[in-house]
Amino acid sequence: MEYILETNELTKSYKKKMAVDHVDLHVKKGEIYGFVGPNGAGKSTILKMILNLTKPDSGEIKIFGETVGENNFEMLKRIGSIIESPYFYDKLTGRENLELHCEYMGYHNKGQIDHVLEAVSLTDIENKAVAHYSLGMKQRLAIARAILTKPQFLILDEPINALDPEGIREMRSLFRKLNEEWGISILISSHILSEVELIADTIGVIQKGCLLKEISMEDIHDYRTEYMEAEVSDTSRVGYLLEEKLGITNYKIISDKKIRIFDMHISGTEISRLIIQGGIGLESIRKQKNTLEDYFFQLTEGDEIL
Amino acid sequence: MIQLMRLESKKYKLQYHIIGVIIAILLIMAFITISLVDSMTDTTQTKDTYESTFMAINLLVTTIFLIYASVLISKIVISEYNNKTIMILFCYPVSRKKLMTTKLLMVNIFTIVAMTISYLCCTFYLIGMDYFFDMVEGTFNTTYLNSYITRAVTSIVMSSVLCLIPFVIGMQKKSIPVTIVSSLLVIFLRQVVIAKNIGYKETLPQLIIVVILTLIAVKYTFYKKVNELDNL
Repeated sequence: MEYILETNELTKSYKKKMAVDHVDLHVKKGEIYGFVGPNGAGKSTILKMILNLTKPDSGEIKIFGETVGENNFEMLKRIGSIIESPYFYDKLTGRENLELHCEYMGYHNKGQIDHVLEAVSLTDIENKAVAHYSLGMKQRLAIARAILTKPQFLILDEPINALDPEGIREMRSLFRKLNEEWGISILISSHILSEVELIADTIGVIQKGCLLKEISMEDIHDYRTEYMEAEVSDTSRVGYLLEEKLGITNYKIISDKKIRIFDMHISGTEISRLIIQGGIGLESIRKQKNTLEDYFFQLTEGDEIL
Repeated sequence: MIQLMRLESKKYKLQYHIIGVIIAILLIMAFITISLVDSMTDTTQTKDTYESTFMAINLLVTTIFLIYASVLISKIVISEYNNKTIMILFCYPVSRKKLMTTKLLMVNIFTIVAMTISYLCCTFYLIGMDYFFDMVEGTFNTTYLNSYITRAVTSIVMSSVLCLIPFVIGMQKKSIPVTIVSSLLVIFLRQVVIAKNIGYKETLPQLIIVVILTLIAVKYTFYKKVNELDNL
């Protein structure tokens, strides 16, 4: 498998507090990788280390197969990034900022500036210093800057923060398009799982500096089964009845009030009739689907993560 | 390197600093004029000599442009850290050492050029004023210039090195106030040192020591502080 980004045992601590703990990330070439975790989990720190803005205590990072280091800056030509918040030279206009970016990157096609401004729907911004932009506009400009030089690898730290729902939708389809049409690999971080879920091919979950799991969306879809959840007064008796009368063994007692039945070929009416005939109190019964949140909730064994 | 300098000056619109330099030169001229007119009209005073006026020009030019240099350093180096734009800059495919060296070199060149122009303008202004209005004691004589020129050249060389000290001190905490205050400190210390010397300028060994110490401090700052982006 060809990886565009690989980290090996990446570790970083601030004042004895472990911020990033032996993280092994693997981003495949050509995919969108969603990097998810709550605020303060170490996402930004990892992304900063990937861009060599922070030095790791130990571990190694490889981008395009090359080790990241201060003297290996040529690779930055092929990377577009947004880190933390959208930072700009405030006194310059948006266009001047983008022109400056082109020149530092050694990219000479200035006509591209109009294209990216259009792509992020930033118009009517001529002659206005970035200092007067709203946060949403800055975010759009930052995305424009990141994709301006057609990089092969995009590193986006919370790129949809501060955008309105419409903007989020637009950006999502923009990232998709960049990925599909230009073949750009994207590493996108977010604290909102449901946002990333919609565009990512692979998801990495981080909590308290540890990478809990890397899983492809395909595997997650397999996991997301349907089930029936019933709220009853006596779960163990319901379990007994299910096995005895209906021959269902594929069920799980969640708490002393809740039971989940994964055998879906038996209808809800049948189960509820069984419970009531058994003289057990039935509060509710409904069909449900495992959400991605549930999946990660299980991963962290009840620790609050999302 | 020249390309990087061009980008820096575009980024900070440094061309406007030409106006700043002109204003600084006019201020120095105004100061000298007031001082000369005052000593001419006040009968209890004797007229200023070329020697003492040159001394005043020297002091004013050095002071003003060392402070100016520290303001420039605040603007093109320290504020990059304060505004976190340094994160953008360091994500470009350019060596960080080269980026930072470019910035400092620009301050160096600025200091040397601005001071040279100021010395020339103020000296010609003084000679001209004396020629037309006889404002200075005695008539102008080229022998005055010998010691004055060596002193001016020493000041320019010294300032081009000393202007890096605010960078070193300011970078420790990435603070603009510290940067500017440290330039005042540098000016004060320099006056203390040269006041004891003959000819009111540094001796060659002193100059060499300052150059070496400053370069070591700059090297240390490059090694320790330039890449330190954790606590911005």
